[in-house]
Amino acid sequence: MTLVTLVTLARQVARDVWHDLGWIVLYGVLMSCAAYALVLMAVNRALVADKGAATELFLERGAQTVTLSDVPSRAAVAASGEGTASDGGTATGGGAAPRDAEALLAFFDEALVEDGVAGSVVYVPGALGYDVALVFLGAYADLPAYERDRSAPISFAVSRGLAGEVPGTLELDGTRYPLDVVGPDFGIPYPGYYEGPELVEDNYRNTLFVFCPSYRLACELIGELRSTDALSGPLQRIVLFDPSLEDVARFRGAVLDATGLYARVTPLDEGMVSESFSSARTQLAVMSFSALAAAALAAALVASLFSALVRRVGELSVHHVFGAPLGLLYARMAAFALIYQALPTCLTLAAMAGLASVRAELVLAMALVALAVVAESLLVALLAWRGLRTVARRGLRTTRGT
Amino acid sequence: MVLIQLRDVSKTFGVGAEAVRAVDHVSLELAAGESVAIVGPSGSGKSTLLSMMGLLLLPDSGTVLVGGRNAGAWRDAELCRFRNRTFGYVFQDFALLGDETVFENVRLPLLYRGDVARREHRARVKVAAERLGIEDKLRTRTSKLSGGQQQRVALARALVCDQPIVLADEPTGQLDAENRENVVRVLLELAAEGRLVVVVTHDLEVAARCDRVVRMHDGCLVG
Repeated sequence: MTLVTLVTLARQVARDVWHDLGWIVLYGVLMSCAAYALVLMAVNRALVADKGAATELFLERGAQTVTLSDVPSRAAVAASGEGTASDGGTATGGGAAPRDAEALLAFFDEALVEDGVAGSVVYVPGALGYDVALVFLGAYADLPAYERDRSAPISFAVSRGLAGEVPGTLELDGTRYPLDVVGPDFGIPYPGYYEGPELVEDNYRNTLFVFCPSYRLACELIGELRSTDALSGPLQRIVLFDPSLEDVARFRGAVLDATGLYARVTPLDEGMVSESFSSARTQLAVMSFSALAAAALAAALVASLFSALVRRVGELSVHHVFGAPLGLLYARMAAFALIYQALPTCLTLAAMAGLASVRAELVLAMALVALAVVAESLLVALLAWRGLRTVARRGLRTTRGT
Repeated sequence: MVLIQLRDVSKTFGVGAEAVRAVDHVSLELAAGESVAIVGPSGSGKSTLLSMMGLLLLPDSGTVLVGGRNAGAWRDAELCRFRNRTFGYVFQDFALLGDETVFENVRLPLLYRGDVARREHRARVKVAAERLGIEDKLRTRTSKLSGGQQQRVALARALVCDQPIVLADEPTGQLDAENRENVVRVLLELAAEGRLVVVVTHDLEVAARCDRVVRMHDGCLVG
């Protein structure tokens, strides 16, 4: 194919595209919206799946979440069904003023241990020279995706961004501790929420992760932990794991004594199953609808493309009569088909590229989408071209009805 | 000089019981400078014969020689290039590109000519348009022209590449008397200049003005 032929072909394709520009833009925008919605939902679904897996970690351990509120009246507690013989005393405090933190600190010391009934994660800003230290206490020490040395009472790791900068050990109170780097799949689970590896990497760039089941040991080694926020730190994200009624009562009493607040302890699975089922069903319905809408739009786009190509068969047959080889005409049709779908494809790929930072798998999906569009364009052009070839075999009747 | 030689050519459409032999063992020689009319009833194979002469259809059997060359085994690209340089076609329904201007329609064969630079296109189109009296319509869309004007555009397209052979299938079929006369006059002029002009027509008056009349019936030559 000579340069002159290529230039002629390019001009003809541009003219073809100009004739159908309205349709191209319309389908481009509609398809992009549908594809974008679908991609977003797929990403969201993946995130929800991660969240579900994280929640499962808590459910397996019989987790009970804690909500602090003003002390309710005895009647309200009774109505809510939470009042038991063992914890009846906790609601009698009445006053909101803090009284005594000793009981709560003692609870932390006893419950926040290896295989204890509680776990928490505490954020200590500026600790040990890092922007923030995240201290995973009690049963929480085993929840993040990090394989800690269980024979050691405490383990340290830094965020991946510091992998090349930190020494291999950390010195505390004259003792050197191994300093690790968290893996690429390191995420932080919370009840009903999950900070995945990408979020952790973005949010915790200069961070020390401390995995220490023993609250007491953590406080001894990291002074800021006890001194700055001794109570509210662990209390803020505390989770009880398979506690007995006595544990719950003691915890409520200690919280009430220390803060004057009422600790509502709720089993995590209560309401979670029906909520997640309903949420999954809704999500599935929305995804199905969007997928159907996108499929219908894609079908309409392809049908519109095919129709545009077939409409040109008469005109192209005249070109063939006056010297355009069928091969060149196929190239013209295929180029038109590619450009016809370029706008929706490019907008979709742009949308996916924006999300690719969230889900790396999208890059592969983008390549697949581009390949699929190219293959589909060539196929649709081929089908229309076969019609042209049939018409061309009619001789001088070729152009009848042009 | 003989430009087209048909040697015992046949063409059948369809298969089995539905097969129709459109052209049946036809042999014919057509020379440069001749105007030839092919006449016959509808379905007698006139247009099929013309298509085979113009290498738009290849015969099932027999040989078509154009300028002494047998195109039977040529590839499509080769055939297209040869057709582009050799034939000008005129159709009953004009076969113009309705969305395009007169200029673009007349220029069409030049786009595939290869050896004519783009900068020469305008001059060539202008010469052809002036000959047909449509030079003032070059920027007009062909869909806005009358039937007579459209057929003149088609004629200009058929001679813009100086093709030695002009094949016209019912070129006056949709024209009034005045436009019919204009078209016939141009076709006869082209023959007088040394081109071979072959016209398929039902119009016996048009046929009578040609140098030779070939009659067909049921795919065979009858006179």
